[in-house]
Amino acid sequence: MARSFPLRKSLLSLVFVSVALGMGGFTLSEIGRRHWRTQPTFALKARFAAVGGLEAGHRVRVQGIDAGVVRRIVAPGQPGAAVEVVMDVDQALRNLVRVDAVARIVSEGLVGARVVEITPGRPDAPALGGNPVIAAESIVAPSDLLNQAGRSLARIDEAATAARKALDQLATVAQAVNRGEGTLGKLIHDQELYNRLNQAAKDGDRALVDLDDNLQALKETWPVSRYFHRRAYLDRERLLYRPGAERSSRSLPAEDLFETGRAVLTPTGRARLDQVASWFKTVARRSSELVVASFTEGDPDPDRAEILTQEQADSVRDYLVTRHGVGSLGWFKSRKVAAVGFGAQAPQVADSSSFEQPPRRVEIIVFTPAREVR
Amino acid sequence: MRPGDSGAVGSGVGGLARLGLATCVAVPGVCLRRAGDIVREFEWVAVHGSGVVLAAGVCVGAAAWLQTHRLLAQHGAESTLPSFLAVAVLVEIGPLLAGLILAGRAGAGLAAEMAAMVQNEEIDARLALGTNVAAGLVAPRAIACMFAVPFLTIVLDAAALGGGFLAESSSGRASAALYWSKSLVFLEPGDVIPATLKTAVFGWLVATSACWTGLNAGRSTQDVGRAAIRGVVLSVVVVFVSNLIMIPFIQALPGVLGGRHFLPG
Repeated sequence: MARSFPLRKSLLSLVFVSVALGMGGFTLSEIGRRHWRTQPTFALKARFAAVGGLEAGHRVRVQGIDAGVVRRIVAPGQPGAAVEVVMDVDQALRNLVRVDAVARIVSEGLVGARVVEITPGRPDAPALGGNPVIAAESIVAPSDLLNQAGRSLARIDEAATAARKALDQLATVAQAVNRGEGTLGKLIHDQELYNRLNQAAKDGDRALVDLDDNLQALKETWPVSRYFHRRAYLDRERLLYRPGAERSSRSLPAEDLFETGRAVLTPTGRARLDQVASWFKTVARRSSELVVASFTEGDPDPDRAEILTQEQADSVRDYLVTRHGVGSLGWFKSRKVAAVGFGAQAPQVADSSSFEQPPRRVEIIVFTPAREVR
Repeated sequence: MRPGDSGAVGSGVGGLARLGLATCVAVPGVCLRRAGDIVREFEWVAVHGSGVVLAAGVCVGAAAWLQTHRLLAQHGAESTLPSFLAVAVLVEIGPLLAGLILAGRAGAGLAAEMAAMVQNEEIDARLALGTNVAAGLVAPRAIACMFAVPFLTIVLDAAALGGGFLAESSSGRASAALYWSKSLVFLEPGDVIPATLKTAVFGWLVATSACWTGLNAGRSTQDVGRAAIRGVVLSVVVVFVSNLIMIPFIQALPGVLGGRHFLPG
C-alpha cells in the first residue's frame, strides 16, 4: 500500500520546523545573553568571608550597571578560609574596575535575590592585571543589624534616663525658686531688690557714657591729641570723609615706594615722595590737613595686611614730616598729618576715582576747609 | 462489542506495554521505509495543530499576566512579572499545555481512526496479510507526534510570552524593551531545553496510548465515539502522570546544558 512521498506536506512541515527552530534558537541566544555567555567578558575574583546565599547565576553590577554574572562559587578548602566567587564581567567595563575596586553582596527586590555590587576604584589606581582579584566587603547579616540596633536602643535608653534625672533636678530647683528660697528665689520675689538692681544698672550706663565723653575730650586735648591724630586712632572712616573740605590727592603705587611686602622706602620711593612734597606745598593752605592712606590686597590674613599698610603709611608720613616738614606750621602750631593703613578693605567713603586706582597704593590726600579755598 | 474484540493488540496494561515495545522495535525500519507516512502525520499534528497552539499560548500568557499583575501590583512587585511569567511558561505551563493540546487533538483523532479501522475490518485484513500493525500504523504516528510536540511547545511558549506582552502593553507600564530584557533573566538554557524536550515523551505516549485505545475498540459505530473519548482521557492522564514522573529526572540532570554550578574547592 505504498503511497507517493507527500511533497507539499513536507514543504509545509519544513517551513513550520524552520520557524519553530528559529524562535527556539533566538530565545536560547537571548537567555545566553542574559547570562553573559555570548558577550566578551573577563573573569574577576573576590574572596568573601561568607557569601550569604549567593549562587552561580546571580547578577553582578558595576556602579549599578548590569555588568555580568556570578559564574561559580568555590567553597573554601579548610575552615576559616574565604569563599572565592568567580564572576564574568563585561569586558567593556574593565577600564572602570581598578585594583582598589571593592565587591560587596547586597539583596534586591521582593524575592531577596543576591547581587554582587562592585564599586570601581579611584581613577588614579592601576588597571587590573591578569587573573584579577579585588577586595570584598563582608556581608552585614540581619542578625548583626538587629544586635547593632539593640545596642543603639540601649544607649538611647541610658541617655533618656539621664535626661529625666536632669529634668527632675531642674524641676526641684524651679520649685525652690517659686517658693522664694535661695538667692535666685529672693531676687525674683523681692521687688525692692529688683528696683535697686535696676537703678544700679542705669547708674552704671550713665557712668560709662560720661567716661567715654571724657576719654574723647582727652584724645582731642593737646598734646595727647597729636598721638591720636598721627596714628589716626580716631574714627578711621571719618578721616577720608570731609564733606566740608576740598580734597586733593596724589596716589602712588606701593611698588614704586616700597620693596614688596615691606614698609621700607626705596630710593625711587623717596624721589616720588619728594615730588609729592613739592606738590603739597603748592596746594596746601595753613588750615589744610594731610592724610596718608595705604591700601593693599591679596593677603589672606586681614590682620597682617592692616599691620603692613599701617607701617607703610607711617613710613610715608615720617618721611614727609621729617624731610619736608609738611607737619610744621610755625613755632607753636603744627599741621594734622594722619597716617592710616586700611589693609585690604577700602572704606566706603573713599573717593569714587579710587576705584580706577591700583589696589596696592598709598594715597596722600590734602583736605583744605572750603572757607580757606574761597 | 467490547474493547479488545478485534484481537489486534492485547487489552489492559500488558497489552499497552506490548504495543509500546513493538512500536519501539519497529522505529528504525519505519524511519527508513515509511518516511512519507511520518511526514504526513507530522504535518497533520504540527502544522494543522499550530493554530490552536498559537491561540492557546496567547490566551494563557495574557490571562496569566492579567491575573498575577493585580496581585503583584498590590505589593509593588509588578516589575518582576515578566521574569516570573517567563519561568512559569517556559519551564512548566508551555510544555504541559502543548502535551494536553496534543492529547485532546491527536488522542481523539488517533483513537477514532484506529477504532474506525477496527470497525471496517481493515485491521483484521492487515493481520490476515501478516502485516505488523505496530510498525505499519502506530510507529509512524508515534514518531510524528514525538517530533511535533517540542516544536509546538516552542510556538506555544513564544505565543504565551507575546500574549503577556500584549496584556502588559494594554494595561501595564513597561516598554517593549524593558519587558523583553526582564523576561528571560531567571532562566538558564539548562532549565528550558529539558523542559521543551520532555514533550517528545508526551508525544510518544499520547500516540501509543491513543492508538492502543482505538485498536481495542469494539466494532459498532458507537464504539468509535467511545474510543475517541477514552483516547482523550487516557492521553490526558498519561501526560499529567508522565510529566510528574519526569520532573525529578530533569532536576537531577547535571548542569551539562548550562545549569547551576557550585564547585567544591
